[in-house]
Amino acid sequence: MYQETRKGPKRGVALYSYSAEYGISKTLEDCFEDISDMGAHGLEILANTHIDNYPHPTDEWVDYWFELLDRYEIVPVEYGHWVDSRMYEGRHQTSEEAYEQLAEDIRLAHRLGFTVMRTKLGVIDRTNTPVENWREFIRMALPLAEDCNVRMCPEIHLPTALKSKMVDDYVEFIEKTGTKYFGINVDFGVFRNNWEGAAFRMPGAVETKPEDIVPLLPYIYCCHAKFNHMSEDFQETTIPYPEVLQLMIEHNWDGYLLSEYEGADKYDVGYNVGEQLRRQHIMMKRILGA
Amino acid sequence: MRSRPIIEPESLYNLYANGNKVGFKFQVHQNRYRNVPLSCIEKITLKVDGKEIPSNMIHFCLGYKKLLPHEVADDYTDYWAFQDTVTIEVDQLGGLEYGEHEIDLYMLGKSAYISRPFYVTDVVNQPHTYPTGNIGEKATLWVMA
Repeated sequence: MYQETRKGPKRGVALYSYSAEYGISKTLEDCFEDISDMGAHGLEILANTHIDNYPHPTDEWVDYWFELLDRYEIVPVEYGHWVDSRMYEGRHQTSEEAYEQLAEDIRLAHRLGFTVMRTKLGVIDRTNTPVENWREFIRMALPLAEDCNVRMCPEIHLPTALKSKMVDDYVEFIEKTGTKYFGINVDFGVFRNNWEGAAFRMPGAVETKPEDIVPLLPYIYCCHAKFNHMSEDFQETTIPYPEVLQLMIEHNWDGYLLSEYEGADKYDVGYNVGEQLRRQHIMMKRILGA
Repeated sequence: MRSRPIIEPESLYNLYANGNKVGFKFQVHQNRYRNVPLSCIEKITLKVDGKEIPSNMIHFCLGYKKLLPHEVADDYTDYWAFQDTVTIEVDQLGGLEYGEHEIDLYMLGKSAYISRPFYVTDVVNQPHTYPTGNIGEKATLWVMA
């Protein structure tokens, strides 16, 4: 049965996890079947990768999309998309250009049933500082997002910490506008506290403590359940999952945790992410109880 | 970045006009996990059997578009989707001899949203180049016809 009616953190999968297989050894339906098989119900797609003929899918493809959702009892949670601020030579997108790109994605996300968007903003430096005009084009898009009932959520990702100026700026924007249609997506990589076996450590990365998520919970509409390595006894060896999830449960956070595998072998020829995903979902199910 | 081949095996064919070989073509996949704005492909170079092909002889064909390398970088409207196959056509009178040929394709890319490439430091302080938008591969293909 769907977990949709149950309050609290719920399990889902980001199709990004299948990057080594999607379009090679797995179709979209194969991914849905795999997600369903591990008892997960939430889904994140990368719009321009997983939607045929993006941003203008055919009506037939949209029908097929809803058939798959029904057949595998999948909830379309998060629509991953980008604001391609740097696609022009010598300048960034104007606010009008960024808004046009954003508006097209908001409409398509709504058409496909999504309620949250992982809005990847263009950045200007190595610490992922967003482009200077982000407030302007996000503000322009808020009425459409409200009409379409989707929440635009930049992802807080290493090397950014939850205690940072960037997060403070987003929270200030939310509080000033009073909007419910802009929030944040926390990538659990920010909690990484073990770098053994990592190819590299992002420069400037400051470790986020599990408790740092608590004051932000009202603004978090979904999370990337980032994981790097699941041991045979179902422990994530680099990120303190039990502590983070327990805090989210205790503070009554309601939303989806979307598994995102980031192990060093994720692009290896023939790599099958299914076993790592299943180990992670066993771990989460034990903590969440469902 | 992804594990599928960039240059499609068994896709190398000669091009004919009025019964004469006037060039050759092969097919290419992109290796990113998202679509690539054409404007982010800043340079395309191609060597065949070790010999550099002049830029004005290379055509990047996506859908109805047939672009020279510098026209790809100037295209701000189209994207190379993950599912799209691009055909690289090369003008070369006489085409290629039947048999095996080494194709070395390199596309210099930039990210549409992040300020990379940059160097990051790993846990033992060795510099690594963070993955960029580059797309390239060297492959040996047979001319199919």
